[in-house]
Amino acid sequence: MLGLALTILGAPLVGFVIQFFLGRRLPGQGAWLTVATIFASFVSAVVIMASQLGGADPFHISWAWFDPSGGGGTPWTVGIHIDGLTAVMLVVVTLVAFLVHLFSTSYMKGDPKYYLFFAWLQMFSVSMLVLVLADNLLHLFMGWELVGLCSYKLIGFWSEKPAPGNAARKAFITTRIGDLGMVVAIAAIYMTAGSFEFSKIFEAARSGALADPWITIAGFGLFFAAMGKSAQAPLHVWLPDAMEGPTPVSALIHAATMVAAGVYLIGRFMPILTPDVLTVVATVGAVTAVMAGFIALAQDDIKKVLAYSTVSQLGYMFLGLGVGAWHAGLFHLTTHAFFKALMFLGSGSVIHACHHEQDMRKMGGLLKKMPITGWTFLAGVLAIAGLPFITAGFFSKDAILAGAWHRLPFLYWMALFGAVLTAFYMMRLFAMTFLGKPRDQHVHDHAHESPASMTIPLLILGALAICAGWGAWHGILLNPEIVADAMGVTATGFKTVGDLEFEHSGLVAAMAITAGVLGLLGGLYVFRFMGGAALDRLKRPFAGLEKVFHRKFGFDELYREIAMRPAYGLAKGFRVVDEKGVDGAVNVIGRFARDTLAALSGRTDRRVVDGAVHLVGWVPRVLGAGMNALQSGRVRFYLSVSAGVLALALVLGRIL
Amino acid sequence: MLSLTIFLPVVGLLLCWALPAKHARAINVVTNVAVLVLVLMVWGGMQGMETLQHVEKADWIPAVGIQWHIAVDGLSLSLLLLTAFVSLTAAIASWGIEKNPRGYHMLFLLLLTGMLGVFVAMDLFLFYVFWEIMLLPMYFLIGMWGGPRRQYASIKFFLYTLAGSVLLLAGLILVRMGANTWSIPEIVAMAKSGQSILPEGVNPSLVFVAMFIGFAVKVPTFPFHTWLPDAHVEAPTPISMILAGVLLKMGGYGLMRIAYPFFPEAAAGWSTAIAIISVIAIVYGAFVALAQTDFKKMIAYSSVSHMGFVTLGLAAGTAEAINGAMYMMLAHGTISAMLFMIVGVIYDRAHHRDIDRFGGLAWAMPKYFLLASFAFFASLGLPGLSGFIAEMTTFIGTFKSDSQRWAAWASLAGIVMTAAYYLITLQKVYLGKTPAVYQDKSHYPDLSKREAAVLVPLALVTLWMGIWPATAMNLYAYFTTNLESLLKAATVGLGS
Repeated sequence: MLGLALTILGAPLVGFVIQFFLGRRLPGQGAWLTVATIFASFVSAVVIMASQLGGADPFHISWAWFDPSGGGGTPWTVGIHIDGLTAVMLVVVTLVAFLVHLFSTSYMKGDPKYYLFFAWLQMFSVSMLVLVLADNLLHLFMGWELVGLCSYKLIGFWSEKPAPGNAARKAFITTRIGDLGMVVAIAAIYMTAGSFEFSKIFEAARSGALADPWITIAGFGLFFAAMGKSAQAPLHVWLPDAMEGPTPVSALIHAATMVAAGVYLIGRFMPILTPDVLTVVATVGAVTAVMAGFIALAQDDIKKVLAYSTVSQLGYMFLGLGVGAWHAGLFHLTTHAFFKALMFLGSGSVIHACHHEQDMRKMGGLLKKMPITGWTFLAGVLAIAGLPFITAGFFSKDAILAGAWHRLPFLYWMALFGAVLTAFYMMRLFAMTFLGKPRDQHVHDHAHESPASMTIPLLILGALAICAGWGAWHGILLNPEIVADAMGVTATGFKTVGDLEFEHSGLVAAMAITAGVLGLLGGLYVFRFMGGAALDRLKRPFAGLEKVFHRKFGFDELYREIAMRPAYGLAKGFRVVDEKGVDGAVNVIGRFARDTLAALSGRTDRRVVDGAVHLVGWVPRVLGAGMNALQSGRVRFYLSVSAGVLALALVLGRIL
Repeated sequence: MLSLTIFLPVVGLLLCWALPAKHARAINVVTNVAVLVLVLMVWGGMQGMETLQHVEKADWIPAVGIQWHIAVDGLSLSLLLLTAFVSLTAAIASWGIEKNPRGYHMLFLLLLTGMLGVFVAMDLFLFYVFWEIMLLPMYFLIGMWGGPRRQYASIKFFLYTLAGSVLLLAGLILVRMGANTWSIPEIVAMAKSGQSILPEGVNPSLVFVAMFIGFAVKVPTFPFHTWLPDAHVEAPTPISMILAGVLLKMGGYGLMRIAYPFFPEAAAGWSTAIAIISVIAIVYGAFVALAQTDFKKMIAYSSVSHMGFVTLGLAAGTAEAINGAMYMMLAHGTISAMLFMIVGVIYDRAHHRDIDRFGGLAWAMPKYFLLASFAFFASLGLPGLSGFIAEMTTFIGTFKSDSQRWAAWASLAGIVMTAAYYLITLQKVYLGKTPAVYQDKSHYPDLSKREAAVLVPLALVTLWMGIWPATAMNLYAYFTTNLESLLKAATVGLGS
């Protein structure tokens, strides 16, 4: 098991190092190497998965790293922990990463930094795998931060233009604000549990060492960090901007790395999340799900729609976790990973074909021109809409709704409404892009199906978007023992959702099905068959709302006013305080001391006064040859003071 | 061997003086290499880190009991290594100094002697002598080889440090009067056993404050930091590297070696006040850094911000916090040396440091960009690099301290602001479209071999300290453990 785990980490790490330092000189600029290394990780992950499915015990190993506890505690460690959850994450991450690598070999062709792109893709995968394999919170945090670095590098991959540079910075800083929660959680947990290791933390929660208020603070801290990484309102603002990165990066960020990290974190730490924390998790999730759905409705950029749909779907995952439907949230993470990667790569294929046109208003009728892209995309749309029984998305979303129904009915209704929205805006996207008549003949003429290295990943993901709900993942996440392990120690009284056997109750399922179908049909009707004029008439009463949605509820403007401007203002203010206030005071004291000293010692050396003149900030004269004399004057002054003090010391020493 | 290490630079200095000026820079580099080798040999010759070793003791001024007393333990060794290493990189960075090279390199070597001496002196008087020896060359190096406002900056540096030194000296003399010895280990032992080390009627709390300010000027802790931006901005690049990389650490070292062990009760009593100024340094320093347009000044304020963690860790007083504080000294030593070199590289080419007037350098100078972003991310605390270990350990340790936990919470704002000012600078200077002027390879060549020889070793050490912190931490861990128990006992003593 250790060998496998180290292969998973080591192969892409080696790939990164080689690619980063030597990639430029490799034939084909090394893309094949990185595809191979990530494939090796994938194979190892599958083997691990198989052994976990075969009932293997969780695997754990840790090594002492360093010991800052002064012998009073245990050394800080790094280590590897593998259980069912890890195995699922490993397979999802490596599979999606592999397909994204493969897709990129064509998509990025011709980019001057081709080799570097693959280097950072590798590092992105490594960071995420470090995070997933970690056996303790501090170690996990390192993967977490490295994920942040790689997203910075990749979102800003084209940062010779201003927008990607801004987006990259925004992503890093916004997630870093979330990370403050993580830092506090780490400190609070270490202080109470005396360790960062998952098992010891959970043990401490069980024994009561990790108790209120710290368990609640830690829980909120972890969730705050997850909100940053997984783009939950109000920290979601970076994710749509992150679309400035190359499209394969978006696929990776939205499916397998980065945003998945927050969901995984909360899933992993279920045992220490108190009911208060979970309620907040669920509420934030539901609110985000609906809010992002509204915004997605009013976007015209194909990637922006997908971006907000990710924010929305992540909301569902947190809703699932928050209502205690642990498996459902994580299950949705896996199915979403497949269908969202599918749709992002599909949109990449479209953008590639349309010569980097992303505006859906210029598309239309592409299904005939790009059948593979179009039909696989449809699979993704159906999956995210939760078309019953055949798509993976149905099973996972239904499970979340069932959980909400049991625990927080109000949120259930929100989520149900969100499900209608989801189906509606996704069908809007599909209809505008692939159906109907071409709206821009020029773009349409250019369009062509993408090469095999791009369509093969689409086909694989398309198949997964449909089938992933039937197979092994469902099994491992619903494995009662794993669930019991995770849930058994959840803080008091929160094992409400039965014994976590989610009866897919008829009513809940029926409503979910209705919601999905309603949204899909509605979307199809409105955006495919309703004419332009009729559509405009339909939209007219909602014009105000549409504007609000289109402006994304004004979060960016709000933050500019309440956070960025004040921070800059404060910075400028502090700078003035520092230069005029603190330094000014120092100068005043300096002048006073000099005057006193001069008076006391009776020195009238003009040079000293001269020096003090400089001290108060006069522009010094360029003294050229005179400088030496001047300095020796000051040094004489210095030496005399020093010697005086030293002499005093000696005298005093003598006396005593 | 220790004496040889300290005085080898003086030999180099004499050679510089005796031989033609054109050899001065080579002599400087060779001397620095030899010093580093000697320090490594000192390390190799040590049996464990706990005790004072390589002890050399001889009467110097017997009339007043002053001794030539030098020795190393793990704490001193870690800083000797830092000094020798950073000094070597700075010596390489000094290769291109054209104005009066003989004088420059002589002063540089004198500075090295002073710095090495401070970290091994075990006699208070000797400590003070080295402390002062180091001031003079620094003053001249800034004042004669510095930028346009060098005179103002050097005078300011000088008077500031002098004021600090006077307070420090007053404290040292009082200790000498009370303890009747100059020997640091003896005084520490006396303090530990509860004996008074001050003359009767002298308030230890005030003496501690005097010493603290004396050292805090060097750290520099808010509000004693305003000499630093001016000194840095005017100092030539290699001197900035030394200033940030080594000189600031002398303040932290003084606190750990002298002020805290001498007066643990007073230190514990003042811990909240120290935590307050530390938090101000961290947060306020970060904000002021954000508002800078001068690249070098920005880095200087980031030093103020980061060094705030050193005093914060000491104020918190838990083992993790003190270990983190000491780790910050070492991590900041190498990272800030890198950062100042990075500013120097671009200043040499563009002849200005205005952040707003750069842009797009990444594509014109890819190697330089790689190392610059490495240093930026190291400084903002990216895992895998040394800054992360230092910040996290200090933060966690401070959080653990019941009395100063608030300071950990308060310092959080600094973490975000640090990311903000680094990323904004990174974007303004390196990203964006490359103007045609930067594509001119004759004016904007990528890193030269010599510049790479300065930056790459610093980067490797930063990386190693981030991946395997035990190497450095094990050197001084015993010392911080002792200090923690001393402070803990003192705090208990205060309560009762």
